[in-house]
Formats: sequence, C-alpha cells, structure tokens
Amino acid sequence: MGGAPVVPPVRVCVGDDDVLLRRGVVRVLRDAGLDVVAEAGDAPALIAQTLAFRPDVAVVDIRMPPHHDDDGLRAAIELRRRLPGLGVVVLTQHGDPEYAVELIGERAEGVGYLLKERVGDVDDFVAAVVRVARGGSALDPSMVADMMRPRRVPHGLALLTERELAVLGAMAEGHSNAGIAGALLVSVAAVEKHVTAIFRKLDLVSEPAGHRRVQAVLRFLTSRDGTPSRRP
Amino acid sequence: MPVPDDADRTLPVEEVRRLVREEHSLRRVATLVASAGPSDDVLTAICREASDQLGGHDVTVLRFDGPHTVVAVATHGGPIPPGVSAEHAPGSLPHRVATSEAPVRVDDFEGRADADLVRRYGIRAAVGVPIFIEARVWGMFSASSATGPLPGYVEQRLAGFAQLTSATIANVEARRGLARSRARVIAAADEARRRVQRDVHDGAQQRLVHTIIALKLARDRSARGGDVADLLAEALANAEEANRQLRDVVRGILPAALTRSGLAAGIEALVADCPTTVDLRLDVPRLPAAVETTGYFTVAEAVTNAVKHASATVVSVTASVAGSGADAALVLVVDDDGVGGADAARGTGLTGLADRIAASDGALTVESPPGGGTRIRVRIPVALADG
Repeated sequence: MGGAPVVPPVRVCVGDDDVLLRRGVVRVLRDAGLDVVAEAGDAPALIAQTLAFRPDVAVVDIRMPPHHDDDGLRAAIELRRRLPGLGVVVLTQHGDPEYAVELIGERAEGVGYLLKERVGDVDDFVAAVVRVARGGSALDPSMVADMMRPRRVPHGLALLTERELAVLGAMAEGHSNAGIAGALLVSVAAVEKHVTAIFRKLDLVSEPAGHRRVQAVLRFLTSRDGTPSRRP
Repeated sequence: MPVPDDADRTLPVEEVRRLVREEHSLRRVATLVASAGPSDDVLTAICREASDQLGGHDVTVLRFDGPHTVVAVATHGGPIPPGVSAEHAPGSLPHRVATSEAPVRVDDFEGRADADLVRRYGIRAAVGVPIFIEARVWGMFSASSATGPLPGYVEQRLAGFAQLTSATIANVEARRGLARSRARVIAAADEARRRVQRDVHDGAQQRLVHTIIALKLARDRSARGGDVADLLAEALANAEEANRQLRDVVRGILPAALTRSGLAAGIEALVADCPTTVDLRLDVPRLPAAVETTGYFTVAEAVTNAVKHASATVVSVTASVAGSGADAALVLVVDDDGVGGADAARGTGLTGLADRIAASDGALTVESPPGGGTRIRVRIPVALADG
C-alpha cells in the first residue's frame, strides 16, 4: 500500500465462501485504504464476526453456506436489524430486484446491492462501499439500466418523464443531486427541480424530507412487482 | 288349469318388481360414476344402493392391502368404519374370499378363525363377494348381520354391484395413478431445472464473474502502464474453466451424439466411458426425437443401475424396431448379471423411467429376482406423434 489512504479508514467485514473472490474483494478494499477487520466463509461466521468487530459496513455474497441459498441475504437482514448503524453491501451474480427490496425493508439507508463483477470496477466499487458505510445507498447501475429500458418502465412510474426517470435511476444508484447533475450534464438546480417533480408525481410530498429520497428509490424498485407482464 | 310350458320361466310379480328396482339401482350407480367421477363418495353411494337391494342389510367395501391385511374403504350401515384395517388369518372370511376368488358365506362366526374379530363389531353372520380389478381380487363387498344368517339371494345381488364397482375402482386407480405419475413428471422436470440453474450459477457463471473482474483489473492496471500478464493468465484460466463446466452442463442436458446421430450413436457414446463391459446389439434407424430421447434415458438409467447398484460385470443392450407402420415400436432390452432385486415401484430412477415411458404410451417390464440379474424390457410406439 503506497501513500496516504485516499478515503477515510472505513472498517469492513467481508463474507463470501468463494475464497478467490473474497481475497479479491479484500485486496481491492485494502488497496483503497479501507480497513478490512474480518472475513467469513459462511453466514453464521459472518454474523458472529460482524457482531464481534462492529464494522461500518459488511460486504456479503448473497449465496453462502450452510444452505447455499440466500443465506447471505438472510444474514444481512438480521445484521441490519441487530446493528441499526451497520451498512450492508450485498453482492449477487443475478440481479433480481426482489432481493434488493427484501434487503431494504423499511430503510434504504446504508444498503447496497451490486453485481459481483462490479468488484472489478475498483473506483466505483470502493465508492459504493464507502457510501453505504456512511448511510447512503448503492444499486448496481446495470440493474437500474435494466429497469429503465423503454418498454420495461413500470406502470407505477408511467407519469415520470424520461429525464425524471433518469434522475430517479441515478438516485437509486446512490448519487447525490450534485453527482446526478455531473452525470447528466445539467445544473444542480435543474436536478432539484426534477427531484421535486418526482416526489410530487410519486405522491411523496407529505413524507419527511430526508425520507422522500429513500421512498422514491423504494418505489422505483417495488414498482416492478405487480406490474402487468411486459413483452419485449 | 293347464300349466303353460314356460311356467318355470315366469317370475312372480314381486320378483319382477324387485328386478326392476335393482336394474334402476344399478343404473343410478352407473350414472353417478359417469357424472360425479369415481371417488370414495361414489363407493359409499354404491354401498347404499346395494343395501337397499339387500332389504336394508349393511354393505361394506373392503380392499386387500398386501397378502394379509384388509381395509374398510366405504360402508352403508356397516359396523366397521372406513379406514379401519385388520389382519386376516387363514380360514377367515376375507382370506377365503381372496384365495377362492368366489363368494363366501358364514352363517355363524362362532368357533371360526375370525370369531374374536367380528364379535368386537357385533357381527354374527356375513357374506363376502370378491371385487376383481384386471383379473385379480382387489377387495370384496361384504354384507353382515348381527342376528342370524343372511338371505340366500345376497351373493347374487352383491355380485351385480361388484361388477359395476370393479369399473369404478379401476377408474379411480387409473386416475390416481395418472395424477401421481404426472405430479412426478412435473417434479422431475422442476428438479432438473433447479439442478441446471445450480450447476450454472455455482460453476460456469462464478468462473465468468472471476474472468470479468480479472479483466477489469487488468484494464485499469494497463491504463496506468502496469504489467497485466498475471491478471490475463488468471482471466484465461477462469474463462477456460467456465467453458469446460458449461460443456458438462450442456452434455448433461442432452448428449450431442444422440441429437446429431441418433439413438445408436447416443448409446455408444454413453457406454464409451463405462467401467463395465457393455455388449451392444443396436439395429435402429433414426426415430422421432422423443422416442430416441426416451430410449436413451432408459438405457442410461438401466446401465447406471447395473453398474452402480447391481455390481454387474457384464451388461448387454439390445435395441431394435419391431412391427411396422402404425404398430412399429422401439424395443430395448437391457440385461445384467448383477445382484437383482430392482423394483420399478421403489427406486426413484426406475419410477421416473416408468413415468417417462408411460407418457410415451410405452410399456416397461422389470425382471429382477434377488441374485438373478436384472432384465429391463421397454417398448415405445414409434408412430405416437401421428396418433
């Protein structure tokens, strides 16, 4: 590791039974200056380690022993319940939004849901982990893009303009208004105007201010469910 | 008054009325079976109709469950409730019905083999009439009395209902068997899908994720002018492994030899890496894909069983087409010299095979005496698709 850490030392716990991938994740995070305090190869060990070390964020493979089903997700949900300040980044090979909805529950703060190959996009991956550790959210861009494909736009979001959908997608990825402005090449004021319109169209105006953003993202994710079949 | 010649064929008015009532009763039963479909309720209704025709004596349907047990299935007024089962000893009424395959009458159980049992139900006398399904005694109708011997007409009248009931029960069993078979076919298909999903997810897809990560890291490192040889080697190794695992998955779904070159080639490829000697006598042209696939999985299952479970040292496979035109059928025979004792009703592999062959309108027979090797014979109609 050369020079000063590029980001403040966030403390991380990594859970993945795929040893090579786990080592890769640990190396990427350590190289970026994060403090990996514990590693686990199955769900019970992950819970025990996380409770013992109290990291800022846990990076968890959705599929882990003992059942090789969604054990990692179950562990992440339990850890979020027991450690309310803990951020959780769940890694998945298949981007089912249903898992993300389940993980977020009532609270989208401190939740990330990323495709595994995102680990290779080191800067984005590290930024997502740090953002989640600090209470932000991170939804994989490819999942957002998948949900934004013109014919697949959920009915619940039909009132939004194309621009507003793009802003909402960027919000789901976890970007701030300034970040969205940069990504969409518009002014921050324009983004704020779109965000206000989104809140109004999704009927979130009465929600507490800090809550709206989270609710909008949740609406974005859940509106896929119960949508009539979309034929490509 | 001269007596007409056919006086002995003239029935008393009462008897004619009774016969008409019985005829109506049997017709009601037949209508019930046809409209409501066969069920235990229908059997109960048949018991009720039969009871009416026996002057109100109770009537019960019992089923033989294995060689020594009899189970009450349905009743009208009988003392033995449905669901109750009992052992039947030699000399007992059910045992005599089962072995003689004929009606049996007991006018007084006192001192008989099943005296204790029937006393518990307050039965003094009874008549049992066999119910045949596919030429085997499936169960029996029984009428009983708590007081004294049953009237002499009971056997004959119950026999009429027994015949009708045979048809009902054969229907029930065929439908249940079909439903079970369908459920197993669906479960097997679902399980196969889950297995493919699991194999791909935990195998090739995982390796591809590694490949992508390594390539992304290499991309970033090379952009900074770093050496990426190790990352490229890692990516390549993972991609090759993913490819190998995908090949295995695809081969497991359907072997290329079978789909490209037919059943004989598929079987030859199957036994190529078999540790046991397999004699092949394969004389089959290209057949419809469904027939070839079913035939292939039949041989695969049989050969696997012979090698894995039966410890066979020699296995022989014969494949030929018998008959011609609409009657043409693929006939497969797999013989082994293993331990025998295979049972199509037990092993899940053979059961799955039986379901699959039944779905192709074919027939499977398994001869597997303990210690005497196993012979599996399968016949699958070739022209099914046109039917």
